Amino acid sequence: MTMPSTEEIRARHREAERASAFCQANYASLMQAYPDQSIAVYDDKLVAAGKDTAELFERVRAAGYEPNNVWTFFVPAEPRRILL
Amino acid sequence: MIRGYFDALYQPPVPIIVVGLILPHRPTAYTPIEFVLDTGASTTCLHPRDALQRAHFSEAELEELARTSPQDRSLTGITGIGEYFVLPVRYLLGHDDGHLDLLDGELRVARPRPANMNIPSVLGWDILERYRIILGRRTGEVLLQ
Repeated sequence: MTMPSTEEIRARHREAERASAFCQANYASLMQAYPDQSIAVYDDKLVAAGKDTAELFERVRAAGYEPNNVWTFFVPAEPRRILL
Repeated sequence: MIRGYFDALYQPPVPIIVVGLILPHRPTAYTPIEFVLDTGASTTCLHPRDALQRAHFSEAELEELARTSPQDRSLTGITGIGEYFVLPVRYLLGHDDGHLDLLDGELRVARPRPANMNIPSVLGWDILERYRIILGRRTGEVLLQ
């Protein structure tokens, strides 16, 4: 397995953080539109949503993207409480 | 300094650190995961939703771990004993200045069950012990120093 270059890693890390920031900024509307679903984000855009991984990835591909290139997040119906 | 954030999808918001994983024999070279910074966790664990949607394991591959990877039978949590399988991993943590910490270690990967599908992955003391942890909910600070 080839180790990705430092620049590739940094670029991917920035993409992940950017996608995460998109979700954080849009949580209220995402929770309303896609409760208890997973969503896929690319380039500050929502590209697909699905109730499970298979459905999500099918819709990601239908939208012209590859699952490897999008950022996925779970959107709960309401803010979660957890005990870890 | 490694920076995270408080995730408002949890109530109250929980501290998150984005950590990259390099897993041998996986098609994706590098996988960033939003880990909950969990000071109650002895070890770092990848839970099924992240394993399926970010690390691109198939369900069959996750089930296959029971056959191919050692099981950590020592982990107990508030909800009971989980089934976790141990994989070698390289962790990547990115500092503000662009510097990357590369940490070789082990990752516990959970066997999917209905009860654990929506549990976030957790960053435990196997990684956290290397850092000073600064958390400030009011200031929004999630820092590893």
